[in-house]
Amino acid sequence: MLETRSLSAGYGRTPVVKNLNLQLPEGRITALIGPNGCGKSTLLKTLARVLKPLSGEVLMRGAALHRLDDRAIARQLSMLPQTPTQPEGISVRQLVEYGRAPYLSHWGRLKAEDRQRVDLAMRETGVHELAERPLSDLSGGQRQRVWIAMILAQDTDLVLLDEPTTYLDLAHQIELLQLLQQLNRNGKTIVVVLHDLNQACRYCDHLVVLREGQLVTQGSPDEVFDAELLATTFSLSAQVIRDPVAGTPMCIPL
Amino acid sequence: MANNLPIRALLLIAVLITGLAQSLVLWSSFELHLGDLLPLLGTYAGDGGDSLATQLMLELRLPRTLVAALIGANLAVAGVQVQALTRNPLASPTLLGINAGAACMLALAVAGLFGLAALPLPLLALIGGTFSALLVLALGGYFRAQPSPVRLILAGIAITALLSGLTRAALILSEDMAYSMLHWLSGSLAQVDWDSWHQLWPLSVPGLILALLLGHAFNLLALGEESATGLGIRIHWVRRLAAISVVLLCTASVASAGPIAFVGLLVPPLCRTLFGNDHRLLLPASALTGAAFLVWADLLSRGVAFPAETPVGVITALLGTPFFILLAARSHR
Repeated sequence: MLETRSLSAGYGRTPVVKNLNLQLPEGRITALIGPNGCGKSTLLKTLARVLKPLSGEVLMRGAALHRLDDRAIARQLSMLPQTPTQPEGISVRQLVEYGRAPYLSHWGRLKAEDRQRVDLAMRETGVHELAERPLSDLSGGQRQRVWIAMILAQDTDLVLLDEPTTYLDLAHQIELLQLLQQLNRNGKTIVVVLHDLNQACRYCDHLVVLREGQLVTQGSPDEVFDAELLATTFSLSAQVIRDPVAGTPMCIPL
Repeated sequence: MANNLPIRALLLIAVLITGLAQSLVLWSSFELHLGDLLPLLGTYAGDGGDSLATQLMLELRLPRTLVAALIGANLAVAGVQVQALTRNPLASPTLLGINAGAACMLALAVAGLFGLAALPLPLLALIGGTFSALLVLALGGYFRAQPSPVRLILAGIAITALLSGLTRAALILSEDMAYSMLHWLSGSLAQVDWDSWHQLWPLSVPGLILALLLGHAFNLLALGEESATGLGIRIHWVRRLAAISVVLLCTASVASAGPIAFVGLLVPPLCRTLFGNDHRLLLPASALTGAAFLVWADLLSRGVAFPAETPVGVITALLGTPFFILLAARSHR
């Protein structure tokens, strides 16, 4: 569904991600993991075409992303940045409505179908009761769900999220990851940058491990996540055991 | 807020129309009344009405009123755009150094440098304003992939300071002309005639239309560049088109009446409180409010020391400063 060919990307002229060949599996939740500065956010931003590749290319369903029409892409691929700018003085509903932008005329008029999509997205994320509240009134956890609602209103097969759990407490982190799982069951392909390795193992189907801008390994958590990976990639000596609840791999630092 | 929106809009239009009408008759050395407006309308309908009052309004008052309204709209709409682009509610169009560039060019011409005096005044202002805007935008990294508002603001401050210094130096060289320059520099509608109107509207109308078309894009730009890109907005085009619009609106205005302070800074935040943050509504509302504000400020400028005229820029600054302090204090709460 989404693949990279000899992709190098970064800010300015120095590549952060170097010569990367990747295929992200369709219909799965893929986590991009790796130590700080390994290029996982840079990769995600390049996939979302916020950054232009320095060389190589990103393909979506076989077509080069940077040659496709922006609005056409936005109907297939959505992106939630790590720190989205919160616009002032708008309501929850207004923000979620912005998710319909790629479908609207230039002037941004919503049709009945768009309103239905917006309502559905707000119900799926449980923010429909907050619809008329100003965005600035909400807590961090509520706000993150509103952003997810906006992405859902965009109605894309592919959803990219850059560290969506960063500013949330543990309960809200889990709630968000479960929401991602539910969206995945409804057919969306999800690519997410995560910092918490145990959460990545538990909630994602596929891990892409990066270090210094290069691919270390990829595969299911069971295949790739072990003590050796933690030692070589994260310089962390740890023991990997089974999560007693979910049975997925889980690391305990020594 | 949404419920009484039509009331607010009607009120705003009423203020504008009253201002326009009063501006045609009030504070004239030749006594005029609102009743004289009727034969004026008759003139346009084609039946006579060539009295002195009609002539006076047609030749002097009408162009001045129209120019004031259009400049007010221009500056307010430019202000909304600059604030949307920099994501700074206290940014103003003067940030781009357009006024300073136009003023500098005129001062150089007045000082007789480079044979510039041969060119007409509006053209000089246009060249100077466009040149300094491009300089600020280029130095401010505006055309880069990830522009930083802070860098743009710093570039604007630096270039404005440099150009103001040059302007003063040129004025010292040309003492005899300094008074008329000073009058222009404080922003005045006193010299405005039909020629000014004919120079103003061809630049203003495309600038305003361009801005209104970008309304929805500005809404999405407020979500940050990453989200806006994700929603399929071509950010670079929005930035470029908006910059073109701002330069058109500001240079046209400064060429006709000199730099008029505070309209672009104050009208947008006022309209944000009255009409909300949806740029599709905010832009036209700011245009009307800016027009009403400057028409009334011009009326006051004629009235405060009647029969002498006070430059309208002085009035907007006097009205604007306390309001600005209030606004700055509120935004830090």
